[in-house]
Amino acid sequence: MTEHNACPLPDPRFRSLRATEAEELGVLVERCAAGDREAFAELYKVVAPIVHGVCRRVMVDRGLAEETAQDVMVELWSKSAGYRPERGTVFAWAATVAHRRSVDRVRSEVSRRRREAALPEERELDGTDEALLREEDGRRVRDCLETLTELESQAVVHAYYDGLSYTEVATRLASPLPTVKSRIRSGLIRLRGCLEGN
Amino acid sequence: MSAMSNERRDELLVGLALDALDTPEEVAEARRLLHQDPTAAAEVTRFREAAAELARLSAVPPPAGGLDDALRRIDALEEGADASPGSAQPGSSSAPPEAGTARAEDPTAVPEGVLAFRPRRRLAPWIAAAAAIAIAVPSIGLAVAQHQRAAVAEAGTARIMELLSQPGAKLSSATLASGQGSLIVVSGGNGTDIITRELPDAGTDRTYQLWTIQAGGDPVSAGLVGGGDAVNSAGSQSAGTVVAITLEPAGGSQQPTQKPIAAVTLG
Repeated sequence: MTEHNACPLPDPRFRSLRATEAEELGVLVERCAAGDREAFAELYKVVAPIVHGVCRRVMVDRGLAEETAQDVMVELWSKSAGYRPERGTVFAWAATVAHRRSVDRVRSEVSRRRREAALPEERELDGTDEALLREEDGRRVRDCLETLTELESQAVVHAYYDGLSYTEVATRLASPLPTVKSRIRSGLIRLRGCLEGN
Repeated sequence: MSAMSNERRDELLVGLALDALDTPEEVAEARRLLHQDPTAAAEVTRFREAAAELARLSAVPPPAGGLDDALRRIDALEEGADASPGSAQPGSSSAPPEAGTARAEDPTAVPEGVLAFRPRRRLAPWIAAAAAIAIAVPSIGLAVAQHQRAAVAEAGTARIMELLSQPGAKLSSATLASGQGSLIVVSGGNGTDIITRELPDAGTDRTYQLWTIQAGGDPVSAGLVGGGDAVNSAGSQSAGTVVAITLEPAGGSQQPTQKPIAAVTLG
């Protein structure tokens, strides 16, 4: 597919779901900052599945992934006082920390060449891959991914889920670096626009 | 200020949000953009929200006992934080750890040269940060006090303070082999600042060069510095990374040509 599908209609239910979640998680993080372990337990229930999911996808090694994911959850606790809602939702904060830590650890533990060459089976974004906890939760982003060209979504998915750098994606896809950068750029911009309801 | 193409700007911001930038230099460049341009910061926030939506697709049940394990780690953390700043944790080895070697077996031990500083929540971040610097490097403590009095919002100092005010921020320092000048590294979740203080003049045909060396990796240049004081930013570094400074020919080198004149290992 080289053309772009039309964007799905803005979804008020999706937005209100996200807004409610953001507010609730914000309150939990505030309580964590005050030392409330009950609040952390609540936060863990909502956020740990995504943190573990990201670490597993990027790091592949299950033991390493779990170790890193737990480190991330503890970091959310210890940095709860520094959380600022204007910098983004708690959810995005958790996913960002999980992704960055996983990428940092993988890049320092395994050499770049090994990772580029020994690719695990092409990862497809299908629902049977792991037990998706909340099928509904991913519906909007799946719909929005459909608005990207195949090349765009392939590049974005490789960059994000495999934790690859621009150059590593270019090597993995055997495509020129400027082309790959352009696809990842336009892909994420389009994805973001769709999710924001434009 | 040089004009940056929209393409390049998007490339940096998207790359930052996806952790896809190729080098620490580009990460530093992207972070500088965020500091200088509030619209850039807002864009990255929005890109990160989009990436977080992608993350939802990979959600998996955490391992059994995961919550208990996390709570146990938190308890261990809180106990460690009750130690006053300036005291090294028990269990650290007496010899400085070398790059690439295994870390001390006790995961809560603080390697020599690293001051783990976790400000208590009620302490004003500014005061806590200034205290930490003063304890670690007396000469820099004086400089901080002067800046405070003059209330000069120097970009370098503001950034150091920002990093240090986060819980979990770490300060590592080493004096140069010659005895004059210091290397101080402030590392936090959001980045790493490498401060060089009172370096002797390198001379016209030489320059100091900073390096980050991840465990098992090759040295990566973190920039050139001259004599005197300077602050360089690098991206967030993983534990065990060594930050080193060498003296190189003017213009710098691809890889270090000399042994480091100072080095710290990040905890």
